[in-house]
Amino acid sequence: MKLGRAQAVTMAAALWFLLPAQGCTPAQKFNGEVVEPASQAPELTGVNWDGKPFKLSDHRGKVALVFFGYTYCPDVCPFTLAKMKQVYRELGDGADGMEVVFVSVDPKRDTVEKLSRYVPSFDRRFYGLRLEPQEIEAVSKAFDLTVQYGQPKEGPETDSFYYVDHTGTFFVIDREGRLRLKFPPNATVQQMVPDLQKLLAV
Amino acid sequence: MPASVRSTRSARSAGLPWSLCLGLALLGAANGCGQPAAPGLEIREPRATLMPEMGAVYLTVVNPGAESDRLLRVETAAARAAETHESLEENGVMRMVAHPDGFEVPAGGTLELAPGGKHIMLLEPKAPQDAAGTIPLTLHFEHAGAIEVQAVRSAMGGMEP
Repeated sequence: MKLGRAQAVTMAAALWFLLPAQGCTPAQKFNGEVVEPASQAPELTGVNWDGKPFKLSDHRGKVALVFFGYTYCPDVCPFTLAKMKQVYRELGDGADGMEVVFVSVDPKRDTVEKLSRYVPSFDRRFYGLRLEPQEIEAVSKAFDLTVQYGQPKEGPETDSFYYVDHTGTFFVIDREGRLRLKFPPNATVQQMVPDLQKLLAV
Repeated sequence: MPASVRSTRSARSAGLPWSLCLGLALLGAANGCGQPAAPGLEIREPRATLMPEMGAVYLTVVNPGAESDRLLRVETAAARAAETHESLEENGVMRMVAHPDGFEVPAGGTLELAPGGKHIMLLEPKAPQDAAGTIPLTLHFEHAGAIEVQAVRSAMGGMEP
């Protein structure tokens, strides 16, 4: 059936009014990419920088902002953590309802001890997780991450150094443990905070 | 004529053309300030973020001259090595790329080293993590020669996006 333009517009308008009436959650406008359908977030099991075990599902009831990186990353990762610090500042008391979870994708170099000298220097409330290599593999699949380990550089000065190319997406998990939003790596604090506030208000 | 400019400045005085003029005048590298014959490069806001294993230096190079220049390499006593690198994003994936040939400073333009882009990577910074102050760097340019700067340390996590 071919619809005329006027008919299509009428139908679209009708649908627009019907949607909220059907008992769906009122349409909320988010700056981030909305994950649809919102489904249970993949589990994350690791050790926090303070040596305590961490399971993402234990933090249900809070909004969680999960992202990936490594402590040998000189530029983007510190910048990202500094951004998270600012998110916390902007949220004020709302920060109590939100977990910031930095997950290392470099278990070979990022020991818990190294994470303990890195993550809390930004904010002691941040989690900084070390996952076992096989766990990272599983998490990469579940979150659809790209993680690529570069070749160690040659030469006596930098032989121990290699890059880890990694997905820089921020994953936002709501209080019910559902993956709800994704932000691109270059998302600003101003874009993220209003979305987080909406999820915190639930 | 390529002028060898040596200036030691902190971010506080960065951006003041006076210091560069004074430096040039003292060295006799220029006949006077504002002369287009020997325009120097200006280094603005050199700053360093030092993490336990890594660090990054950011700054802006202003090239008022009619010829492009190139930041070839960086030396510092404050780290095991300093290299010219760039962070890139491709389809949400963060990548790091080394620039062994350095960065161009376009004629009449600027080279911007900023978080999330081009930067000077410091491998294993030697300075203690929480000390304030500055770290010395020598920037080697193809035409302008060596320029010494003091990058202002921002404490870990003190960096603002």
